[in-house]
Amino acid sequence: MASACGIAAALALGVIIYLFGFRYFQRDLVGSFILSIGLMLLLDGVLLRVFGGTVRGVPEIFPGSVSIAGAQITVQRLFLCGVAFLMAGILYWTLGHTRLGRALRAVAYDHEAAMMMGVPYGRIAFFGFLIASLLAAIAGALIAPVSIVSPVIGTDYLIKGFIAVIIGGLGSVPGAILGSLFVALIETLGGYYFDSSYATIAIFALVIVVLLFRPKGVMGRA
Amino acid sequence: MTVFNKCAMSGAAILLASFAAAPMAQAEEVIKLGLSTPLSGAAAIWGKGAEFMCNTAAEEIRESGGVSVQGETYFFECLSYDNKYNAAEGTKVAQALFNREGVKFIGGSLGTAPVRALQSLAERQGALVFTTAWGASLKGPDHPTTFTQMNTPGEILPMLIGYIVEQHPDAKTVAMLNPNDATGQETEEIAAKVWDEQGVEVVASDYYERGTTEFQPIAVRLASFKPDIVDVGAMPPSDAGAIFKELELIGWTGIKVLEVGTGADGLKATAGAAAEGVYMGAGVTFRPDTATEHQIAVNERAKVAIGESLNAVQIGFYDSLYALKAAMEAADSVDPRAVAEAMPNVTFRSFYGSDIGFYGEERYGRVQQMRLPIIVTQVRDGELVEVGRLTP
Repeated sequence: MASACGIAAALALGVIIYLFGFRYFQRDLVGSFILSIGLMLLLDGVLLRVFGGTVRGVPEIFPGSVSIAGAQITVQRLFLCGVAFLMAGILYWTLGHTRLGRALRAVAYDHEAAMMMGVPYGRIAFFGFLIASLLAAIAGALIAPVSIVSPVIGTDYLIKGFIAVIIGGLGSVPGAILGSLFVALIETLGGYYFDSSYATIAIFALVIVVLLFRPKGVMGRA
Repeated sequence: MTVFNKCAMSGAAILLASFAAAPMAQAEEVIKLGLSTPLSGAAAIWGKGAEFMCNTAAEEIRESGGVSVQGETYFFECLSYDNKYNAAEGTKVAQALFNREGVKFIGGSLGTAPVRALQSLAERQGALVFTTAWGASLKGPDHPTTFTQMNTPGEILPMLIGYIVEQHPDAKTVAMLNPNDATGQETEEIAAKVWDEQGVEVVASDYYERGTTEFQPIAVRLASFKPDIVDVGAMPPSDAGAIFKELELIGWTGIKVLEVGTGADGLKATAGAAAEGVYMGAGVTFRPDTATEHQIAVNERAKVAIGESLNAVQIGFYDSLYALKAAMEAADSVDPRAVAEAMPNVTFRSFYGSDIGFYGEERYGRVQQMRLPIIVTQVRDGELVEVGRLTP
């Protein structure tokens, strides 16, 4: 129930932020980026003021753990993985096989050509923002029980997500999945076989290598 | 008397009253105390608590008549700036406090990296610095105006580790994990030495980056060494809780130590039941059997103000004000150098309820460390319980 309320609240916030903010920065990458950073700082500050900096415990939606090939894993994490696969599949299918998906891709590749073909840019951009808000809200609700919940929880995941997109390539769903797997693989194997701080360095080294030799990302187009 | 005359008389009376009140207002001298603490990010709760304790002590001192120096009465005012727990912001805060605010006394500062920046500028300006930073490099004869307002690894670890070894004589190996920063590195160095001196072999000593979100691989690696003890040193309680939770999940059952552990709330929030049994070296309990009425009352107000029980880091920001008051009155001066010279010889009433002074010449080559009680605590039945106390 709490998760559903949280997702609904995040969606409502997404609508407000779009209507009163990002709507005025359409087709302005730098402006919308600055607005994003500003909103992030503002929301962090407001949440810190309202809820304090105390770390909160969030109960697991699915408690308990199971053993898979000798490795113990919580049911919550398994559920999280399952939902991640499901959401990625739905998103991939939506982008490739629905009118909304095709319109989203069209405005992403060339918004002027899309508009000339009659794609309603404003409405499509709004739906795109709502989908992003929904995915972020679901991810937040599911990751909270296995993470450290505080008003600044988003920052670290934001950096990781950004790294995954840079590695995978902007505008590519398979690329984003591949980038995420790269980050997770380095973090997990590096954290186990070496000092955890080396794993963090390795992730940033990977980003530098990708930017140097394939600036568009592994599967990026533009 | 006409209306005009009445207004004129009233105006004159107000004017006279203002002139009469002016000398009284001017008699109130305020000493600005700068605070350099994290007020945003994961460690914001420490900074907010520090600010609360500084204001509490300043208010108490005001109510008790202020600080008397050469016939003048001074009051303290706390100016809190956000150092974001990093050196770059620490430098900005130092410049703002000394150059813009004209601060001559730092009532408290937090974080080894930002405090290094603060200390450097303070020494050039002859300002007096109180710090909770754990770095031993901040202490010593080279830093004559720096004083430490809480126990640091040099004080805590010999007693904490000694106590744990005494309670668990069969424990022979320890795996350590610390944050990869100045605080973690200096803590690790001392802890490794003390474990070794106590006959416990250090089988692994790793670092992790603050802001890590995934602790499972780190926990699996620590458990792979099969240590009797896992010591997470200077980790924040919430990160430590995440490690202990993952360790419990993979079936590791050993002795859990959080050297810098200051409270059970953050630990329990992430560890849940896995917080049980964790030893801490900087925790403070507010149970009626070990705490004074004053401590309990202030703690209750703090819980309302900041949402969490007070800890040893925050309490340091209360004690420093009483130390400053005592030193200013002893020196009969508000010059920071004169106050720093008087500081090692003063005693004052600590928040912990006893009269204390300073020590540390043997360990650091200079009397600069507050002689605070070292309290060993453990999480038992979900509550933080004091299991040992020693006043050096």
